Amino acid sequence: MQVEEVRFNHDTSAATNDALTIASDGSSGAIAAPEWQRFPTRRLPCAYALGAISGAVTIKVRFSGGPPNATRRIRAVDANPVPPQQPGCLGSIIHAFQQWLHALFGTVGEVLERNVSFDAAGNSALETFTLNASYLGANGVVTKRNTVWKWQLKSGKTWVDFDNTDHTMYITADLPTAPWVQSGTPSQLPWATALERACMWAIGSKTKDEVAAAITREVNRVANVSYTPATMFGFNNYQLTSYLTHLTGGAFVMNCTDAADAVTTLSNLLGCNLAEGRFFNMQTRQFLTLSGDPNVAADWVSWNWGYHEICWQNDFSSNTVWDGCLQLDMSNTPGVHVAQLPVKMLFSVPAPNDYKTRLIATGTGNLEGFVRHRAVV
Amino acid sequence: MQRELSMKVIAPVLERNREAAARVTGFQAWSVAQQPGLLAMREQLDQNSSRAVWDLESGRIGVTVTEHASTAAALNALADDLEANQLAELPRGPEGLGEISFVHPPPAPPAVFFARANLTVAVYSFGREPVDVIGFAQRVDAEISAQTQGGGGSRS
Repeated sequence: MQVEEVRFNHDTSAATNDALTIASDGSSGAIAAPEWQRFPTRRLPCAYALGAISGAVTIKVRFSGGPPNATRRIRAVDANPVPPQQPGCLGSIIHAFQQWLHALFGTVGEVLERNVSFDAAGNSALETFTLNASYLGANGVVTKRNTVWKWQLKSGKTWVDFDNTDHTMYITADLPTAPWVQSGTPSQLPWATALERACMWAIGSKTKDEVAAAITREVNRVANVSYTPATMFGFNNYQLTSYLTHLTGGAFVMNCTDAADAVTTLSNLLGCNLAEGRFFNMQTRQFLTLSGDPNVAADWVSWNWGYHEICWQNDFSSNTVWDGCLQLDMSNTPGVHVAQLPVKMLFSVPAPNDYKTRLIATGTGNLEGFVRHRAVV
Repeated sequence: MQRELSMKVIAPVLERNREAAARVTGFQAWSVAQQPGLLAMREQLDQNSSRAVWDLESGRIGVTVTEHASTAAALNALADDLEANQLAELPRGPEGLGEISFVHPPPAPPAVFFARANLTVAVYSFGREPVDVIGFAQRVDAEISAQTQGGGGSRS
């Protein structure tokens, strides 16, 4: 007996009991189930949104090579469970580490047993199985999981292995928000290439605030990036494909619009509700430049900017901002710098430690009339 | 740089080129004959826009080339590009570079932005190490001028 196909996104109209609708990238179109297929070989990723799931998560599976005109009880268990703890202190430490790895990257859960009927040729219909997956519930975190299932059928009182399947699963905090969609323009469906980056940057996050903070921090600390005032990844659209490519290449440059796009787009891919918004006309105080080292004097800079662009919770009315392009100087002592990444900061109270006060030395800092969610290309 | 500011400088050039038919087709960022270094990356950003990055002995240089419908459209697009630049003001670039050009003032990482025929071109210092961009920008401009058909462009 063998597994012929596994479907995760079997209901494209919802993500409450199954996987999201995603695309491989901006030009692939939606990944259609089955995401796993024996022949022709098909191994495509799926994604689940923790905040959207309500009730049991199900998958659909089809088998072949079964007993003609008979029924078998079938289930799947974790093929790579945490090994039993070895005795001693070292054994305890290793076991804790293995549990931690499994909680972050391991198989999402088990496939609960059920009866499957086979026709005269030994083929099953597409059968619905329920997952017992705590990592899609209370124990869920943002991550990329490698789920490997060992499929078993019941023979007498024992379970007998008959096949293995492996699946790449991206786990997001909630349903992706703008510019991402779940239906409509195919190029704006969540890209697996972007999920790959965003899930690893925000790995372990449970809440949207944790996601946005992690993405902001990672955008700010990309090792091969430095600041230029020119927008490098598009102003009308966001050239996300290009940004993802440069992250894995040599040195590159970007500005605040690019940073705001990266933070907003990758955070919203994981379920946050950020938007890019600009404000104008400022001579800044000294701040720590993009990817700067707080101990290097030359990395503390100030600029005469016509505009600066950052991320806002929903829109300007929230007065709450994230900025992956710089770190503010929170020190009140001349010659001493204290770097702080702007993460869920109040923009303007006004108060000594709000974002606007810490960034702008002189100038209006007046807001643009609207916020943006740039489409991804 | 606010569009009103850049257009004060660009508008007279735009006026001179409103009917210009100078046109270059298919000029990609990486199709420069005199490569400045080792080509490290080439990207088709969209149907009309491409970017190339070269590794130099020290530092990197990047070029973005975008094709527009006309010289006038390119000059308008140049103003758009400058509007997506955070700096409050960008000074004029060297005389003769493009129909008109603008540069990053120090201490900003070197960059130059210009329009020639129906193209907008940006040449950037593309890493932490500052790299001079003017010389290479002038070579790119000369190649574009050599490939320009239709005439009507103006050397400022």
